[in-house]
Amino acid sequence: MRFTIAREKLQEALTNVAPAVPAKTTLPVLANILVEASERGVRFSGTDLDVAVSVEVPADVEMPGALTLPAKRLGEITRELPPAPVKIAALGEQRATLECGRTKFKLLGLPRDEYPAFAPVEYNTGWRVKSSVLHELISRTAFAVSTEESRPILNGVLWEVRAQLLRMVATNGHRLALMESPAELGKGSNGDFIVPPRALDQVRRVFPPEEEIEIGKGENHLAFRSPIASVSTRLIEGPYPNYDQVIPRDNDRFAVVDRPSLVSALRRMAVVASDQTHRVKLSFNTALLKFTVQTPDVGEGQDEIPVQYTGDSLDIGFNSSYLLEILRYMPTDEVRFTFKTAERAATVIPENWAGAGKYVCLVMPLRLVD
Amino acid sequence: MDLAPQEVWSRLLECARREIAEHTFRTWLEPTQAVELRGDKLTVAVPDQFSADWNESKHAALLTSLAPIALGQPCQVEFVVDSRSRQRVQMDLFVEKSAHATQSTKTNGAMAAPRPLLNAKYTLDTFVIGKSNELAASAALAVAEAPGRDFNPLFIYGSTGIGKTHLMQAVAHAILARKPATRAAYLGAEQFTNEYVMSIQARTTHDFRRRFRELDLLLIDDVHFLKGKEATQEEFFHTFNALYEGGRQIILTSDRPPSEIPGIEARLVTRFQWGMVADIEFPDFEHRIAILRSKAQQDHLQHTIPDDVLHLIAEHVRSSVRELEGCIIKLIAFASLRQQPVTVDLAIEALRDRIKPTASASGSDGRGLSISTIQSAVAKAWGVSASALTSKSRTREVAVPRQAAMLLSRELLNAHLADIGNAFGGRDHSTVIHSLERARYLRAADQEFAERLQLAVLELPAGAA
Repeated sequence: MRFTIAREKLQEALTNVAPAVPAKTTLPVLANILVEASERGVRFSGTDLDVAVSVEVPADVEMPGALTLPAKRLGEITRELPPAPVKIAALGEQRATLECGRTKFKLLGLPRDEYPAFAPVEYNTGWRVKSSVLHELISRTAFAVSTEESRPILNGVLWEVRAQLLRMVATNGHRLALMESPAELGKGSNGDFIVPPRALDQVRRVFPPEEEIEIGKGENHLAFRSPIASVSTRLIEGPYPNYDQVIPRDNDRFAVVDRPSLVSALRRMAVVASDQTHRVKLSFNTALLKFTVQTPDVGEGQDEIPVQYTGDSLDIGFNSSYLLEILRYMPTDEVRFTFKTAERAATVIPENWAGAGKYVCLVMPLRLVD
Repeated sequence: MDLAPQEVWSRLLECARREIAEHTFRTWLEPTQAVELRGDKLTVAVPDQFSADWNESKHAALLTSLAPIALGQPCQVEFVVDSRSRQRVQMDLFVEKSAHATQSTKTNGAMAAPRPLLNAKYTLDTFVIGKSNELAASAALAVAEAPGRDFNPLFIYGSTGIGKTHLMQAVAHAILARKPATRAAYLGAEQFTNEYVMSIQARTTHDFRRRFRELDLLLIDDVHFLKGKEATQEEFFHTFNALYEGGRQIILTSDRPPSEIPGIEARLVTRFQWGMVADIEFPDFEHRIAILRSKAQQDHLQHTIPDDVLHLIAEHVRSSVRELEGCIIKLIAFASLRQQPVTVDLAIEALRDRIKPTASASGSDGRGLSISTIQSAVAKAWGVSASALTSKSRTREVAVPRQAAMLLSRELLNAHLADIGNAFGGRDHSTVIHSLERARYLRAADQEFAERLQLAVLELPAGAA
């Protein structure tokens, strides 16, 4: 294997692949990046056996071949190299030289055969999606996944693929984010997948928004690819809870709030809120939204902002960090809350949103008495 | 009474504070809230079932007696679990619905709690209490009265077939009869291990944990089977802690006391000893008769087995209660097969393998002779306690009888060196070899030693010399 590559191209490829390389691993070869040179260019791949990323970049290939090189060292070297063409050549099965101008390195790697094979994925039965659509779905929902291990199914984002619709749902049981985007997929495009959010992060990093992404299915895998890059991931198995059933349909109190002022009020209140519950009491009245925090051992806080509110006045407690997170991903400056009672789920939706899809977040209140 | 319940309760508490130790008051009575006053009945909410039971038994009477002083009229205090404090502060999108569902099934009928696999015959009524098991039985009665309180865990040990499982299940029966909604589980340590292994294979350890850590009553039989199973012990350790901290009752049985179970982690052993460790010994003669009578009565056989037959069986069958019961069953079967009434002669014939004719009863019987009987006989002859023989102590007073007991174990039982070592406090087989040499030498050289040894041999059951 011998090729010459522009330093920027090499760096770009390594930045994309490096996040897929595990920091600690029991399998030494996983700390390496697989480098494969062919007539089309050079492909760099990294995986932790759950999520795999590979990127192809143009290069001047003199002799095709493959081997694996340590990801961390290769990345650090590349970052420090002068802006000149980089020449990489294999010395046998597990060593390589790297030359750039007057800089020379010899690196120890591992043979290509030791690198695990990627799970087979079938693209023919898959479908194609615009990258920007995926980006938006992911960024507006993935934040809501659970990080607790007690309900592993909630550690993933539910992705529902229908002929006319893409829907992503994520929840940790206390708050939920759901987004739908219209889509024109082929007939028979259908499937529910529970995808680890880490894989979706990679999708967002690796594919630029304007690209068209092909999506393929494996036995228990899902893969995304463009002509130059691919991300594949193991799926989380199991039945996702019935999210549709918990979305309230009969909420009859509404509030429209200015998002920036709500966010800053909540952040102020959160300072004196309990470290465990982050509880802030919100009191909705016709024109005024009052905030109250009372935390034994810490202190108290009060604040108020204007609000357009319809319905009987309402006192309701929330975990301020859940509200703040939801508000961060709301696309509009004004948001609409709906409530039923202080014990039922509240919904948050963007007000006057120009987007084509549907976006709704749910948050369960905190009990006010304890 | 036109006072608000809160006012009534705070006046009562004011009075009670003077009567009750400060820390007790703060632990049990302060975190309460008056809920309702109906007539002269005051309902007070407490955080959990344990405090409800505790307050009910320890403080309710005092509070009731204080009522006329504090309020000028009688008032009865009743403790209930605060339904609000049982809920978490953060409400859950998915759990909420299922919580309602379980609540409604609970109110629909108490049958919601899964029934553990208990033997219907093992109840307290059929358990015959005698000298050998009265400690264990009274501990069990106390547990049945107030699970999770004084004797937690209850650890019952004793050799096979003398009623450990019976007693343990009897407690469960008693608790379930009183509170049918109790979530109880009975299983052997072996089964616990298997289920844990299966849950690892099926990747359902989460369900496994939930199943066991949300119990009110956990019965584990033959806990010594956990020996050497490290991962299971780890799991059991956490299960134990979860239950113990939640004030749930745990009952364990084993064939030996916690400290003598080999291959069990020290942290588990100490936990086993936290509560009550009670042993069941071999029943004595009178007790055996009582057991046989009770057994005959249970099976409605009182007319067919005469007393002298019961005496015969009780005299000869000494190893376990299970064997006693086995004799009765065999005898009845034999009698009905022959269509003859039960007599002493018939019993001797039917139970040939167990009852030796009187002539040979003094001969070596083999049954009932074990290292532990030798230990107690030797201990008696030397005037030391049997537990000293298995202790770590190496003082002369203990070491000599220990060597003697090892010698008898070797010569009478032909026991393996390693087994002897184990039975004498986990000693090495080379220690046993040395002890045997030493004892043989003493027997030849020391007249007094030889006499005591002879004395010990005479003490052995059925004169096994």
